[in-house]
Amino acid sequence: MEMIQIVGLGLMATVLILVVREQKPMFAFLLAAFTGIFIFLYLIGKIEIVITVLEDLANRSGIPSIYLKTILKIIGIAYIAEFGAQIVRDAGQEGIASKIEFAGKVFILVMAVPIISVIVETVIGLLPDGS
Amino acid sequence: MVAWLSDWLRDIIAIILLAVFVELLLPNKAMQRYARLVVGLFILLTILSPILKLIQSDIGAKLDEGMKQWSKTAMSSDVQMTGLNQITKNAEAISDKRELEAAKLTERTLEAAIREELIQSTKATVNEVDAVLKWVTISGRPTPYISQVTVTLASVQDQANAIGNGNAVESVQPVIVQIEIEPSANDASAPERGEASRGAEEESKVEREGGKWTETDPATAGAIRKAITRGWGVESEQIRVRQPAQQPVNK
Repeated sequence: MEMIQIVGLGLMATVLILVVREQKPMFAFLLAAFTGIFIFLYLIGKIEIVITVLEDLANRSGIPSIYLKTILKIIGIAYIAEFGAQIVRDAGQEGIASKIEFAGKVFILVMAVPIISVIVETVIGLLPDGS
Repeated sequence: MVAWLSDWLRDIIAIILLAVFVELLLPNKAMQRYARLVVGLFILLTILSPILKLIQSDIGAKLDEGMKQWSKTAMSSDVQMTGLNQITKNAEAISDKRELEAAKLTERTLEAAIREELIQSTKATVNEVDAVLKWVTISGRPTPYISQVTVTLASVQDQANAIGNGNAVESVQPVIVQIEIEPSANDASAPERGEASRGAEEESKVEREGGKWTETDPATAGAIRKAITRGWGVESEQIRVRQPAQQPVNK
């Protein structure tokens, strides 16, 4: 049922945007942006259920909470970057959209830095002292 | 051994399940590559965990530290705007200052009120009243209470001048007392502390601050104490009555 609502909202917004675009491209963009924000916020609430399942899984097994925290941060960064990039892309600014996606990728990679450093340290510790 | 092995396997399975979920959750293909790298590192770390435990026992702590540092740098690279923290800190500082002002004002008003009352009720020539307020926190709010009241009477000369030449006898008394004090003026504040807590009449006997203060006659001191205790609920041990020593004839 909710799926139908969302699709209906999207169709309506699309038709309205098509009508308005000829006269006022500015309002067409605003309409698109707000529709996007609405659907996004609506779905963020649904994603919470999935995240709860993930947390439950992590708690039940013994994996450290820092893993889950990092993974959730990655998901969050990915979603926000994607969302922003698409709105900007709708407005026709392909360049800025790809920069936003690039920023998201960089932040995800930065998340990996502590893990990589730990692994590298371990590997170096494994090697015998070259004397 | 088996328990340890099953623990390890359970960890690996859990993290792989987590990885699959994350892959499903990610919004687009471009991000998936990067997220896969990080999740793959986690899986690697989990598989390596027995070796890690053998070599160094504190990977968790190290990882935590790295993450904390990361989030700190992420914070500091944020837009430099006055954060909520800063604002609350400023507000606290300002309200502290205001409270200090209020406390000062309270002290001054209290001193004036005590002085007025003393002059009215005991007819003593009160030169100065110094009330020390302390703060206790009662149910989250700092509340003042009077910790000490020091009443300074006018010196005997002034008193004599003010009253006139009627009671010349009284003005002689302090001179004798002052001589009494002098031998023991060296031993510092310790006896004074003891004395202060002992009781009313002994407390008023000597105030040895370099011989600057001298005794007040017990009747006046008692009256002053009684008035303050009655009016403001201050314990009589917390009240000091003193009087400037009479200067050697200064003409």
